[in-house]
Amino acid sequence: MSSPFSNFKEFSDAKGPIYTFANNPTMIGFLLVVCLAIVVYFLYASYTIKQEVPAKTPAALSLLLVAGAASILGMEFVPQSHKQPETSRHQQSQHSTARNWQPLALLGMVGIGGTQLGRKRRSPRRKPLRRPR
Amino acid sequence: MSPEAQEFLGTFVAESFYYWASVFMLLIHAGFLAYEGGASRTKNVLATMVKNLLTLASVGLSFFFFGWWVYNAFPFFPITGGILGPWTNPEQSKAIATAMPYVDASYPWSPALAPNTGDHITGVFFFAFALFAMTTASILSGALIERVKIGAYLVMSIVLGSFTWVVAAAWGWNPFGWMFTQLGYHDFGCAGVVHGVSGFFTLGVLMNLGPRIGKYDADGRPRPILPHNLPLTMVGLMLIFVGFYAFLAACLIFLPGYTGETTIYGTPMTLASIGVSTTLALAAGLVGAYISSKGDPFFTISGGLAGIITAGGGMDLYHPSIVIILAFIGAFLMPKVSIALEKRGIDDPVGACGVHAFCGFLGSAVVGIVAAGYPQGEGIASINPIGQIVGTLICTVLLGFIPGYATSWLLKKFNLLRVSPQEEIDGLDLSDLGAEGYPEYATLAFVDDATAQRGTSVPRTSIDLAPE
Repeated sequence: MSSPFSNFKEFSDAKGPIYTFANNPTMIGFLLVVCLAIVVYFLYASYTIKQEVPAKTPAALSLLLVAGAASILGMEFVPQSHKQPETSRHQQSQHSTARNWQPLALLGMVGIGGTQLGRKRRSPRRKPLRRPR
Repeated sequence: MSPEAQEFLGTFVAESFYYWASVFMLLIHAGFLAYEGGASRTKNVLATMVKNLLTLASVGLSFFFFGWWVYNAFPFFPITGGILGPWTNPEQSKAIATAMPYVDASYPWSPALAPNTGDHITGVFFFAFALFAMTTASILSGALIERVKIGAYLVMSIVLGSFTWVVAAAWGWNPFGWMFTQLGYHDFGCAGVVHGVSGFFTLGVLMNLGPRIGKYDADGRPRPILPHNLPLTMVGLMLIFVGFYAFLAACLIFLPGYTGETTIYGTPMTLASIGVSTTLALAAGLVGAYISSKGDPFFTISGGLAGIITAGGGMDLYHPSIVIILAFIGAFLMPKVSIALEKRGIDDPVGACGVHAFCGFLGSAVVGIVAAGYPQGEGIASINPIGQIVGTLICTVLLGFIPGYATSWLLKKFNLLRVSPQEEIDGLDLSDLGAEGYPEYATLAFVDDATAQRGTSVPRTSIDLAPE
């Protein structure tokens, strides 16, 4: 029994230690040694534990750059083929705004594509991330 | 100072203590909100957060209408008065006569809950318990993200937050509760009463809800669905830690006229030891999960909570060294449990089953061994392994898993549990709320629609680009 008390009156009137094994210093000493061992192992393990996070390879980066450049060039080319000769000033303004905005969106798309590419490459080796709470 | 002023000071101290502890408990919800929002994908972030937010409404109101009454009226059920009651007939025993004023003060029409200079305590206890109830229901919220109907979640949050856990608390976390008086069940920090009930309730719901689309491949192997904002999840858990200090402090009882602090069972304790034990459980839990998961960031930070829950049941009695060892063991095993459940088809995006169900069960049951023999009152059983394991099973199976499975099964039968596959693929932000969490970002939907609609108009926001 870890309780240092034999009856409730003794427990409720206690003016001192009420914790488990309060009457057994040997057990407390042993438990503290176990705790110390956990801490020491934690410090040791912190040098050995590594999550596998592979760096991007030059090939992946090159592919990303090529894909991004091709996408931007493609998007820049397509709007010109749709231009109408009789476009009003207002419509021209709209196209101009769209051209300024589209590369930004495409950069985002390229970034997402890069993430997907990296994920595919490392998926066989990487542990699935989990989100407990 | 006059004797009247001294007496009122004691009342004010008690009133203020529970008031501010409950206010800080709200940080648990801020944390859950951030954690779940970060754990979801971009297309579900708003719906996830709104669902969690509505827990405050569904549980807050239902706890006022019947949850608070259940806590005060159910301690004797079904031991006295039969199945249909009355369970609180004051002529039946002295204990019931003592409990009757608490029952009378818990009705929604009770003068004790309204402004009343004759009662400073009932209202503030209602406040604290309502926050406990919201915390319990909120544990369910994160596990169901990205595919549950908001209405279904609200129904289940009421069943869990305002009924089943409250019954568990009435039986096992109440000085009149029969699990305490008859079995000697002791659960200071609600490891079984809150976490065991809610974790196993969640497990029952997940079995009927099923995994998210794309979570498993054709061979049934789990695939990672990455959260959209990892830093937000980390900040969320830090807020939860802060809230848990308040949660555990609010488990202490100090009432006007008291000459010492007690647990809810009337046994002596100190608030200082809760500060020491919570800190050590948090630290050792982080260590256990870090080592076990080999540094996985999600498991590591969740290990802090796992450690606190594992040590919570007997935190009022444990020596710090026992707290460290228990928290380490619970948090060390938690990732293994979560992974095992995932392999068996349970898609639990936030690991609620590993952290709350497993660690709640362990933290509740282990009190019967580690704190065995502690006396708890005249005529009341001492802490013992049998009473503790029976009480833990009642919490987790009878009041957790079975109600969760049954409620979700019923909702599923009426097609009220899960959103349609198309809504799930589109994302619940647009399907449920008609708005996106990040309208200015170049999300995949944003870019797809931009390229599809280019030349017809100039989009200002992604809503312009992706109308329903």
